[in-house]
Amino acid sequence: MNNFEQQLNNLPKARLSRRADLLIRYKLMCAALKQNFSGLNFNFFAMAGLRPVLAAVVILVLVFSGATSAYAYNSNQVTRASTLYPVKRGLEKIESRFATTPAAQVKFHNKLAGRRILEAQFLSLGSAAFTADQTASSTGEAQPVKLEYENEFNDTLRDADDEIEQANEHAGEISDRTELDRSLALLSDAHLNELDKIKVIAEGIGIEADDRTTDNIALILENIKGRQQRIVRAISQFDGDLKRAGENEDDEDGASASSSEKNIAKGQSASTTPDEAASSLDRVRNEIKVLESELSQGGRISNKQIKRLTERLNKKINQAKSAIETGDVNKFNGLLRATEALTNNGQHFLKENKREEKKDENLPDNNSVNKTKAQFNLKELQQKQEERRKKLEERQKEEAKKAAEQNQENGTIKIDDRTATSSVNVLPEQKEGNSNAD
Amino acid sequence: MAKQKQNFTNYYNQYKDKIFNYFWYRVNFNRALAEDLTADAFLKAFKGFNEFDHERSFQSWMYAIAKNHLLNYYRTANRETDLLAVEKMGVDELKKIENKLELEQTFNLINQLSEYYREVLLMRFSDGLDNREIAEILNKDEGAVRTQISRALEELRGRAVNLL
Repeated sequence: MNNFEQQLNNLPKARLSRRADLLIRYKLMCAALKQNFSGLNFNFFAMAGLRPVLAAVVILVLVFSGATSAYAYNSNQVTRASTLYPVKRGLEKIESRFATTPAAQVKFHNKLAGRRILEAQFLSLGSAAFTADQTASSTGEAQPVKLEYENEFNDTLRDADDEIEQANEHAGEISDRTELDRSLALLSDAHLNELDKIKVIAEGIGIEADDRTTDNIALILENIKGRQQRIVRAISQFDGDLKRAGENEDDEDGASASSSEKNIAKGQSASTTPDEAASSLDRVRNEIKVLESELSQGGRISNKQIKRLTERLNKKINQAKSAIETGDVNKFNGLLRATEALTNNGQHFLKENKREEKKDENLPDNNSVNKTKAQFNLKELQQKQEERRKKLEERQKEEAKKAAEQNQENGTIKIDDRTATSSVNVLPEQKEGNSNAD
Repeated sequence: MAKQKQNFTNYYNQYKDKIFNYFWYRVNFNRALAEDLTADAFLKAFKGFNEFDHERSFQSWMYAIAKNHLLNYYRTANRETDLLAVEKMGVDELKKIENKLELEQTFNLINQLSEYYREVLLMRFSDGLDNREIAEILNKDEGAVRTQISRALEELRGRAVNLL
């Protein structure tokens, strides 16, 4: 009996094969998915009346989110004053992660710099309309023009300056000679374009703008010029024409010795001892006089504008003098730097227009702002930029030809000023400035 | 104490071999067919899992599904339980068993029992279910199941004695 029951207890126990087990699991998984989706479908189709609405909402959300992001990213009208600006900056941050090499970083920051400048340009357009209305109700006394988006405009300009600086810094990290050559050429072209655009902004805003705005514009112009100098110098070194570069360096030293441009371009602090401070102030006063006499020649710029500019420069000189007398060296240096920058770039804030000059003689200060508003529109800016761009292209082609000839020779490249022993191919504007200063 | 609600996958892992074994014994040890029936039974169980009362035994519920599915299969295929064919159809499987002759003899004896006795004996010995579980599956009283198993064994022994 025991044997019989033992036999029954020993009946074979089959097990599911591995293949069958996997197959069943797969079927169960499919059933689970089907069950989940069928639930969704049921709910969705149960609301048949809402289906078109839901579909429209989904489509709108998808289209709007994609289109909004694309618009925010690409449009120059999306500025710091826009609600979509964080979207734009967020997308740029994401994009920055793809720029992994120094050369790519140069390209990327260069692109952002150009974008910031266009944003500043757009902000300045809006500002002109606002300030014209605002100042029209004033009492007749000349008042600095306040920009509608003053903070945004100035912050955007500073952002542009930061981007340009970063692009230059990354260029210094490039070790490959070909890449460096390409990046320097890119930066050089970009700086010329940036200068051009900021000059247009300066002209549009005019000398009537408040101190902070004009100082910012003048400083960024100076910074870009300084960087451009270093780049040109680096390219010269790259070409290996040290002998010729040395000669040009001597020339440049002679030319720049009488101007404050070199100090500003390097970002160096001005003199701090009382004697040096007095000397610096005298030098800047002389530069202001030279500028005033230069602007007065030809009569293409209204006396009112020239007077306004020189008044502001002299006011800054006096402020700087007061600062050094009270021992506030930092304030003195800042004011001196701003004064020098405005002296060197003051002419960009003035309008060379004979017709305007004649009208200016009989019009109050506030109406000049209205003219600024009328004149400063995007189409005109674009036309001017187009003309200047053509000139720049011609100039760049000549430079490229020279560079191509010189690239055949080997040489070391350094962007740092300290290593620069070659010449500085000063920009035409700077050459003019230097010669005038002399 | 309320039984802890388990995930269906856990139940599947726990009972997949038992359910397969259940079908295997009842479809003449046809492995492929038993696998298909096992898959179908678990799919049915999955679909009805939301309605399963977790206070009840999943095993009883699952065997009830397997049993119904098997009956449907028999009905559809116009087949009946035919353990007499075990020697022919399950010969490959049985050859792997060490004491196959004794088992063949046992199967022959089981096949001679009535359908009800065969079912309770297979549940008890091949599926390894206890009386309470068999009672739940067959929807019978546990005492009745115990009596049926006892009688089935007695009849089986009588047949074995007669055979000897």
